[in-house]
Amino acid sequence: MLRIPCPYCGVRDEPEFTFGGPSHVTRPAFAATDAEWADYLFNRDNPKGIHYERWGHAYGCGRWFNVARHTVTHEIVAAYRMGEQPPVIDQGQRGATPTLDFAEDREGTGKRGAPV
Amino acid sequence: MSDTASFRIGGISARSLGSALHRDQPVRFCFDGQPFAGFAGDTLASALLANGARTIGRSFKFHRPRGVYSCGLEEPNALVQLASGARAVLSERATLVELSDDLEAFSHAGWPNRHWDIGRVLDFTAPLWAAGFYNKTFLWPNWHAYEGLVRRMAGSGRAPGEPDPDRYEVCHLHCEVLVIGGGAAGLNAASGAAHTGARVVLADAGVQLGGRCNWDGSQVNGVSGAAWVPVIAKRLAGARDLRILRRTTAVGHYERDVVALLERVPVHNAQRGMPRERYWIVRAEHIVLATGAIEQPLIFCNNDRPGIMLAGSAHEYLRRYGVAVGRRVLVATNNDSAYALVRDLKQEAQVEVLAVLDTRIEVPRRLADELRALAIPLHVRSIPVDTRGFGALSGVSVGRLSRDAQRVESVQHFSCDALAISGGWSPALQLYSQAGGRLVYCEHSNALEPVTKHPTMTVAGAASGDSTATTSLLSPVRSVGSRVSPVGPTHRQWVDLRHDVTVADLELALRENYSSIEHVKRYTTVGMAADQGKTSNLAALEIIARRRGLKPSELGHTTLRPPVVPVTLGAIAGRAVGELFAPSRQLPMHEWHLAHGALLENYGEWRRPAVYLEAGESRHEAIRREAHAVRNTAGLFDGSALGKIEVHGPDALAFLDRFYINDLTTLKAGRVRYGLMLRESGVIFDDGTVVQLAPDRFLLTTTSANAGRVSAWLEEWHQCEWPQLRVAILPVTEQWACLSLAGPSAREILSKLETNIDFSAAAFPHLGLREGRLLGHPTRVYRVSFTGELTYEINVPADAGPRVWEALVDTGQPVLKPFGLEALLLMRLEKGFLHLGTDTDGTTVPDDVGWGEVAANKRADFIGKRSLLLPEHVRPDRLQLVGLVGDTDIIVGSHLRLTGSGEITDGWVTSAGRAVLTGKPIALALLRSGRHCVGAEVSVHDVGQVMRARVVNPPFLDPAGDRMNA
Repeated sequence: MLRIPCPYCGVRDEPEFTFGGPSHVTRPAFAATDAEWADYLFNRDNPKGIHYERWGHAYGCGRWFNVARHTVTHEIVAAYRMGEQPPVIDQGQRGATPTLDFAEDREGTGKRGAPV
Repeated sequence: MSDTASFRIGGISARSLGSALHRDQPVRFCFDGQPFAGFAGDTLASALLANGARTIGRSFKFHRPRGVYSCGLEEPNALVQLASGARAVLSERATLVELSDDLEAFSHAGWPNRHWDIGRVLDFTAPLWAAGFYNKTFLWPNWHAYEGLVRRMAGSGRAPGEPDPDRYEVCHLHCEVLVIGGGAAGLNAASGAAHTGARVVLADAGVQLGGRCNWDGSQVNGVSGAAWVPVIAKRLAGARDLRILRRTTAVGHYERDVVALLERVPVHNAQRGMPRERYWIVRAEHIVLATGAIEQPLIFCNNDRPGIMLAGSAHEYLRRYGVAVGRRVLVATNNDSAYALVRDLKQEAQVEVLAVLDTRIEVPRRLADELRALAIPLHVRSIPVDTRGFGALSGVSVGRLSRDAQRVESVQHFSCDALAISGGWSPALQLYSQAGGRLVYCEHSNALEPVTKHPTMTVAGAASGDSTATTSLLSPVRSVGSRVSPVGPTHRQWVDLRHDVTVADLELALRENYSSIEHVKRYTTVGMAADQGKTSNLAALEIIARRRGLKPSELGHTTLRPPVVPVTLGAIAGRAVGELFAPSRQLPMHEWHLAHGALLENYGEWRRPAVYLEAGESRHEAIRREAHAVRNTAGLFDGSALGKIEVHGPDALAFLDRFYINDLTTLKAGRVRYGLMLRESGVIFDDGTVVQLAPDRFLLTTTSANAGRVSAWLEEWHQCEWPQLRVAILPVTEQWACLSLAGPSAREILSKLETNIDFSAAAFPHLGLREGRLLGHPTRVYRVSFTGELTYEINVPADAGPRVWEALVDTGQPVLKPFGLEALLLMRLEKGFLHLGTDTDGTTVPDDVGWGEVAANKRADFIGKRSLLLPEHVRPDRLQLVGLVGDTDIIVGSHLRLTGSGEITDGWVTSAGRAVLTGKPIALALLRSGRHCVGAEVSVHDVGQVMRARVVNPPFLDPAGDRMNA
């Protein structure tokens, strides 16, 4: 069971959360080809290492946020608010306890694009 | 076989032996129906040994007699059934059962009894049952023909058939330091951690804190262990925030230092209403593993007879329980630790020790001197090679090893009734390995030891393998040379006692080319029993390595997984059984439904009336009666489970328009629009209505099942995609009771109630919403219809629901009757109204169910719009929703075949029933290119039966909708 650091509530048990897939996925424009659109719908990267992903605190504050999790050790290396850019993380980093790192709040870009 | 000889040490020696006993509290218990006596403080195993009960059970495969082998949770032989009937517990290790008055226990296997077992014939035909025999035999006609027989022969007891009357609890803890193990190392760690002010949890599997040092005579910090434990316990009692859990075993380590602990409550307490077990889920920041080490056996022929026991366990029986393992004892070892047993047997208990066999070439001088002083012969370079005894042990053959330990030079025979063996100690590191720590085989101790430094788990004491640490009480344990006798035959040398796996089985696996340790494990099942190979994995590792010509450290080790000991399913379930298994939601009019014959069933989490049964009615008859009443006069339905969501804000319309396939910008105030929501892949997600209460306030309805999912969906898109849109999403499903009044007489009945709403047809047409007051309560009334009749969905605050319901029932007497979900679904079927999840599945898109044009005509983008253009979604031969009529009942799930079709199936029936007014069989189905097949005949296939049906356009009743629009 993961222990997930909600930026609003602190570290809570995994069953309190909903998993939302990878963060920072860019939606293609409406004019994209069928192949590009299908790739966006169904294909995702599966890295061995740090993975940036969305979690929603469904049985808590209800907020969605982003998490950087190592897919092998399940260590959560960082958590940052929705709309923020991921903090700089050394791929070899092994944090013993989860850290809450917030990058500067740049105006929300680079997250999943709004529909046309 | 006499079971009544006494092996309890009494007299003067009783003062120093039997530290766990309360000799002033005798206890009576029964084993296999035979009465025995013991003391409070005994375990079942110690009491049986004290009474001379040698054979406790029979082995798993060969039904060989087996006796007590150890003194702890690693016990592979003495598995018993406790109690009988509903309270029966199977495969309980007798070494852990605390004796209490009137305890009843039974051996597992053995027919007719454990002393004389007909199953022994399997032992006499042993070569037939080598490892993997079931892959090569029992093949014709198929293995299930033999399954029943094999299960009965396996002898693991018969599980009780009645529900478990015992209670269990799941409890949660958060702490900064979790100390696992309450021996010397664990107590030291807990004391140190508590001293810093940290919140500490200490879990110890024993009844008493202190572990071995309570009885094995070693010194801690200059004083005897027995004297030291109370001192440190007192210090712990003064700790600021320390919780001590006794009788508690750590069973699993999960990600990020979540540890599961299993606490056993003594049997007699469980019968007084306390929980039988507690499952503790602990979230720790740091873990100290002080779980000690498990003694390992020596491997030789017939090393499994009752009377053969681990030496450290024999020592514990002597000192803690005052029980001698035999009258003529032989001790065989490959390390120093067994010598303490020898000393105590001879000096304290005056039991005859025939000799000490040591596989090493030479032993430490002080030990040799000690034996000489006790007049006990010491045989170095010696190992047992075989044993004798029908039932229990009667003699041992001892071989003198050559210098390289590969051969035996000479053999000597001893007559004895007990053989205590020690093959070294293996640190108990299951949790360390589960936590990702790496283990490596160390040549000097012939055991797996931790090698990496784990960031959050510290291994302390004997578990660390570092026997020079001050907290470890085991003097340096060095074993030299193999644990294995070189004299065969190997099919009589047991490695895994629990699963009856011999050295020959391991050799067979290697011959059949299963050479990796994980393959050998699975092929032979060594280490796969409930004891998880605690006394067998290491020997198996060594034997396999040597047979392959490798060093054991080159072989790796099998993956250790939770749980460390068997966990009752009840403990994991805790209180969430029966009524508490899943949350149950009740409708606002729940009490009324119950009082009026409702048959409540589970629809998702909701308890809803399926039908209301009147006297003598069958379910079927009730459904027809209800539907008839609605079509002819009127009916009342509790629709409160329907999802309701309010969306407020200046951008509410723009926001919602992105979710529906329908153009919401043309929606006028007070008008209700039915719409579909899609997933981004284009698949239909939910259907419901949208109504505008005000330019910045909208009210949605959803299906009951998706109420939570849709509001979560709206939130997710708002927070993650469009945070700039100014909206608030308010789920209000539970705030409103929804009373659905349907039928030709609906208006007449409703108009009689006190209200400020004009319900006349002209003022309130179909697909409208009116807000106002009804019987003094605020109300929102929809004119929407799922039944196909004139319907008013009356929403009042949930608390007011029962009052308004009763008022309607009173006003509508005698014609107005309640109707349940089954009648509703039948009526909607007649009208061809979509029932999501029944007529649609995870591939259905709007065009499949006739909504393709609406989606195509919407200019603005919405979730799923792009996906509807994908080739897969515009294929002409997709499954499309159609109606079917037939002469005989059409079965849901039947598959359809078009005439001349080359496909295996052209679709299937999704809903079916008999039309309410005509009684004719009708159905909805998904049919390949269905809309082009209207009028065609199809064959309907259901489990071998074939019938014919004709494809029609739904609805089957009132296509113009006159009844709804009345």
